[in-house]
Amino acid sequence: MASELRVNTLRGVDTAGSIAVTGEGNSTTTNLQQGLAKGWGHYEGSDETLDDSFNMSSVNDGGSAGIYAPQFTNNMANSNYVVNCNFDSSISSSNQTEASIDTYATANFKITIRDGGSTVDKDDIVFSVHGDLA
Amino acid sequence: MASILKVDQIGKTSGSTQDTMAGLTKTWVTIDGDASTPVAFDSFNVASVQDTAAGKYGITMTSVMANANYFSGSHSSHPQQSDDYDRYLCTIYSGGGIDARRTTSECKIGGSYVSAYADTYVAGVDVSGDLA
Repeated sequence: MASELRVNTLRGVDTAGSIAVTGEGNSTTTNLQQGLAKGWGHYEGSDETLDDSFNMSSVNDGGSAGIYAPQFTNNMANSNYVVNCNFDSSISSSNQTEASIDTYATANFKITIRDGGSTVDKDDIVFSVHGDLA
Repeated sequence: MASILKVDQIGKTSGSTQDTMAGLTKTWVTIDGDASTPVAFDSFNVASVQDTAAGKYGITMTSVMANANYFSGSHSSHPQQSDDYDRYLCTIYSGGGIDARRTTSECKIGGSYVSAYADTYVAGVDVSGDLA
């Protein structure tokens, strides 16, 4: 019989932060907490607007064009988390554009975007974070 | 006492629902790519990391995927080693042809520099799709 569970908080019994869930193939299990993205955001570098986000309290101006520091609401447990980042390159030249993560900290990380070696503001900067929450 | 809850939906008391399993990331890993034997700085659902050739890495998953049509997003470091470049995300360098030879148990990524595969300092991958 189909069922629907309505709750506000899920917590493991043996370990509060570990709940096993059955995979799509009905044979293996995966871990709910480990599979959740711990943060994501969509940021406009030109006008410094955080359009939408999860677990991000703000994005600080890094002091120069093209440098941004997203701040976690709930911090990470360590600095070994994964960040995937992309942006609207919209280049007007043949310069290569890239985004770097120059600092991994438990409370924030720093995105630097370069166009031909120079830091520049870009829009539609999207990022996601996977790892362990503190 | 441990318990098993079997339900078809998990939802808020209002608003839309989504497939929780489909939305979960099934694998993620951060790799020390320039180590003589690459190791995972941290990972989930990763049995081992292979360095198959310069700039080419294989990530063997503990619980395998149902098919090879899963999504994988990856980044790699810039080959230059300096404070500004040591964790360079080069999405245009990652993936590429070797990604087509992925299997249900092994996700493959490659990092290249100036038209040649090159080891990277740090690589990160996350995988979404259906578990077997």
